[in-house]
Amino acid sequence: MNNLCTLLLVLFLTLSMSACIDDKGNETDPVDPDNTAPSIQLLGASTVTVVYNGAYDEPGATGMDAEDGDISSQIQIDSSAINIRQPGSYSATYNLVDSGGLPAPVVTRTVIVQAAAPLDMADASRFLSRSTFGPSASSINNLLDKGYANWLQDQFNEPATYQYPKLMEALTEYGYENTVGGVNGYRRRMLRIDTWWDTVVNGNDQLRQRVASALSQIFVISDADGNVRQNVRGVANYNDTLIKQAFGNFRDLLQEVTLSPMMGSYLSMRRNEKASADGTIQPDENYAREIMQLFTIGLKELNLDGTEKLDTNSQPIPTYDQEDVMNFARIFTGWNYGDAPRMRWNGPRTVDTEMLPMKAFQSFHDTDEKTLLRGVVLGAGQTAEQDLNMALDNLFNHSNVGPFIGKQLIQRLVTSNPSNAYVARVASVFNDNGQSVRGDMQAVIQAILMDQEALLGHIDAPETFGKLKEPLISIAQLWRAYNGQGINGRLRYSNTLSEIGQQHLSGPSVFNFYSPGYSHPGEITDRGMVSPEFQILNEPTSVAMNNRLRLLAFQYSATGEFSSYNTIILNLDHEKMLADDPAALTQRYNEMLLGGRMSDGMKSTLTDFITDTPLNDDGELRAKEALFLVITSPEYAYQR
Amino acid sequence: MSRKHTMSRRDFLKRFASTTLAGAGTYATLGSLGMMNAMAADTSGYKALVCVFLYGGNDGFNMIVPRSNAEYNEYATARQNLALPSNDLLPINPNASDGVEYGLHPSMSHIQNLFEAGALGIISNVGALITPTTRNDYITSGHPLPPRLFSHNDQQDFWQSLKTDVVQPVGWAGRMADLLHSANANPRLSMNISLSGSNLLQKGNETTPYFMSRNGVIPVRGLESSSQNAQTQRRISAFNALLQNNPEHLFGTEYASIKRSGIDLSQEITDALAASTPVTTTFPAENNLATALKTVANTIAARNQLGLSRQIFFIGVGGWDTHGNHLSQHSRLLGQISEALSAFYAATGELGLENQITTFTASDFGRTLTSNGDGTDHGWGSHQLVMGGAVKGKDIYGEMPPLIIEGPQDSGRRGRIIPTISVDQYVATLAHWFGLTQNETLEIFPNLNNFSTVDLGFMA
Repeated sequence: MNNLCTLLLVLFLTLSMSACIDDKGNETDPVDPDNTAPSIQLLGASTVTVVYNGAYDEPGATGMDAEDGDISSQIQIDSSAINIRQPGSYSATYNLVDSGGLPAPVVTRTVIVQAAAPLDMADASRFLSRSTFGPSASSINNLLDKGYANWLQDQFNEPATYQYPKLMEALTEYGYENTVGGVNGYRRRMLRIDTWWDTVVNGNDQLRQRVASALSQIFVISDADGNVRQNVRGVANYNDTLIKQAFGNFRDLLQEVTLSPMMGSYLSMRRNEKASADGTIQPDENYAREIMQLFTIGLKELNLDGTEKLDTNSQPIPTYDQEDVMNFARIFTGWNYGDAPRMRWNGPRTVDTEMLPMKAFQSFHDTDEKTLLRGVVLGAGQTAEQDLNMALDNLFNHSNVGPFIGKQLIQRLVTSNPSNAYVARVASVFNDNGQSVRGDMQAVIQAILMDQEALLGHIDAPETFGKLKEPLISIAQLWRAYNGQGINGRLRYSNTLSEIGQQHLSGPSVFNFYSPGYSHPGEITDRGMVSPEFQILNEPTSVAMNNRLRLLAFQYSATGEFSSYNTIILNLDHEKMLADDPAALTQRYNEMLLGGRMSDGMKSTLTDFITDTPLNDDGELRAKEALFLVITSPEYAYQR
Repeated sequence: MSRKHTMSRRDFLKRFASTTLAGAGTYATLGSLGMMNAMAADTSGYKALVCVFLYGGNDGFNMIVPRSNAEYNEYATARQNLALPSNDLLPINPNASDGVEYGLHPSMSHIQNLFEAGALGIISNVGALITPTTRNDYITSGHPLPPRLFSHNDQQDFWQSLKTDVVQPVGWAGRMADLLHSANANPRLSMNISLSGSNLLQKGNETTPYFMSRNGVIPVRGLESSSQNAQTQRRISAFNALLQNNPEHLFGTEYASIKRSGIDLSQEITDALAASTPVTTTFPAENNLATALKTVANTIAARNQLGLSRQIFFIGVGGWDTHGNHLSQHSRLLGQISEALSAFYAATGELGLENQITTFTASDFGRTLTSNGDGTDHGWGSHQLVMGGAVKGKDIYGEMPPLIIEGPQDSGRRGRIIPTISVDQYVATLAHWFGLTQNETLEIFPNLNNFSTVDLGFMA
């Protein structure tokens, strides 16, 4: 919070009201009955707008009094509430007391600190690196034209791009539209990944897709799991649930995720029965534990700012214990596939089995009384749906959800190490969007992206603000920047988990590809920072990614209709034209891929390299060689 | 979490001296345990530890099952529809009997053979403990317990670190490497190699593990330093310059450092492998553990070229969190490790190193004895396997717990069995074999001094 005070015009003189009003508010020193009160007239508009991180120049006011005349110089102006670095609406207040001790009616001026539009191309590129799958020339121009508020509103209004229709189209092309189970599972899974790439690279609803991707790393299911693996339509449909609810309310998201047949299969809530009469068979604790530990409240009680609450012995306070897990396990009993004929039915019944929300079989639901968190008791005799609703309410209303989920969304979108204050601001919006609504995802996303720390972190903490790019986003960014087109109409790179450690809805466990608290050993750890994405960056993944980026930059061809990647053609026409001007080509890549922040050292190395590289007929060699160096450079590896 | 130990170090030393140590001369060094730089460990010859971590929580109580009538009936009563038929179990004949007959899961015929041949031992009911713990202790508030029992990541961390209630935990293999790394002639390559990515086990205060893919080292493409192509040489030169160019962001710097090491070490190891003879033992196909173990065997085959005399390998195997489809899933997984471990043991024989390579299993926790219908939930203690020529095999170490719901070893009502051997004891025994002195194990394994036996005696 450096320099904050110097940016503010703060005139704060102590009021000498104590002379005439005692501490009980009684008048003690009667004023002249003939005296008239002074008045204040603002100079300038009563509402002014200033640009964030700019300066607020106080326009001033005049003060007139019948007895004292012009006493403008005695007006006390308090503008200390204005935070020029945080977009929002603030008030400056004006007070004036005349020589007879009579105050003027207090006057206020509304000061709107507005991050109206990115300041420049680099600013726009930074914003889009957090809110999309990568900036492109057109998206940068669009944001510069529209400004933040309109861009966000456009994105909130943009119709969702769902994956399921794209997948069905692809499946139909091969006659797999009615296939279930393991038949052609490898190919169908590949088509699922193809259509995911298409959705996130080409969807116009970029913000929604980026948020859905973040949610897919919190509400984890994985088709690496045998119970999920061949349900490609179910997995795409689950992704669509996240896409749909990305801009909805967190409570609805929680409900749809919980009743998803894919989540039911992955965390075995599906076919979870009440205890047997003799007690030898007990409810499955899997979903009960993970919905608390990972999807809502986490392991330890949190303050609003995400720090741990401590007990009287300075120890963290567990959010739940084993008894709570067992109680919630009983809540989540009695559910199976939406078209299952009976509770113990396993396997698909129709081609839609993997899509339909789960339904309850009441006779398998534990209807005894249950105690939830904070001592909430669910009475005996409730239906499975009633219990489920009240249990999800119980979790949703826990004070941990705002900081627990808010911080992870910040980490997925903006920066690995948000300040406590940033987390608190976002959590506050989760708790109340300003209209007494809890869990409003649009408000939370806006709070995350428009926070002062997001907008100014690159200035305030240039060495540490930001995050290592997720490997999948590094690749999507390249394809978005250069309009990547698969030679058979598919953007295919499907074995990403084994190569680069990340694959959409295909992680190694419910704990995602990396932990929010992972800290890479060395200076990152020494500085007390975390670096989640570094958990999957190691010698083999860094080399494999380098090799993969080489294939993509040089657009080497793949063979085979179902080989694990396609030849993806990039549109480098503009770059080829600049090939005879090494400095211009360097600058072009700087703007297209690095948001204009390429370091001088890199510029010089790249320009020399281009100069030394033979200029062939159409400049293709120079364009591709330089592209390879840019996307494998450390400067491309992080977003800031 | 209260960390009040039930036994003072002085009490421990008395007991330690009377039960374990041969000579009194060791006392002197115990007084200066903090001086770890004065390494006393035996680093002669070559030794390797291979950790096979079964991610998700292996159901040890269906891996080794009592066959005697009374105990089998207890087992079957507790496990209900998860109980394996008695006749399907593969009998084993431990050298020392506790009076009960035991059998292995029917998918583990290779493990049965290794056990009967004396190349594999079973360590019973191992789990996360701070101090010895009874059912009554567990129920009593204030008894020291590992943080967040039954939670996957917390228990994985505890198994791998044994001290997680600190700001930046490190792993016990990392601490071992901090101590022993100087014994290796090659300072560039870490003593700790993971074939399964990031893990806490191998991370030390000074040690960062080296990562390989389970298929081995990935050579970098388009930047081959041996290339005669002028454009390739130009590319390498610019690429290297960019990796060295400080991008003024900590994450960029660290990214560059990882990639630099990845490229350089892949070259060094590729060269070393080319100069050594790979193993010819047949490993089972479509078995990720087997693939990784073959890579381990071939890396060990190049130990002299690589200049390494002490190594700790880590391989993670997922899928053990069998909340559903337990019987079929577990059978498949146990069959895979049975075949893979057997092939690896043969490969160590081929290398003439079967007495110098010890492979051991670890896992988040065991499973509940009670069924949740068609699966199990998170438990606590579980059995582990230790394989190698230096293992005093064909035996079961520790006490097999009574498999009774709400019995003396049940922590609650679902058969989450309280361990009788702590992780510290289990892995300290391995570390002692690896070359650490008994005093050094006390330093590396933070809870070890709460237990009366500091070496379980299963290693020769």
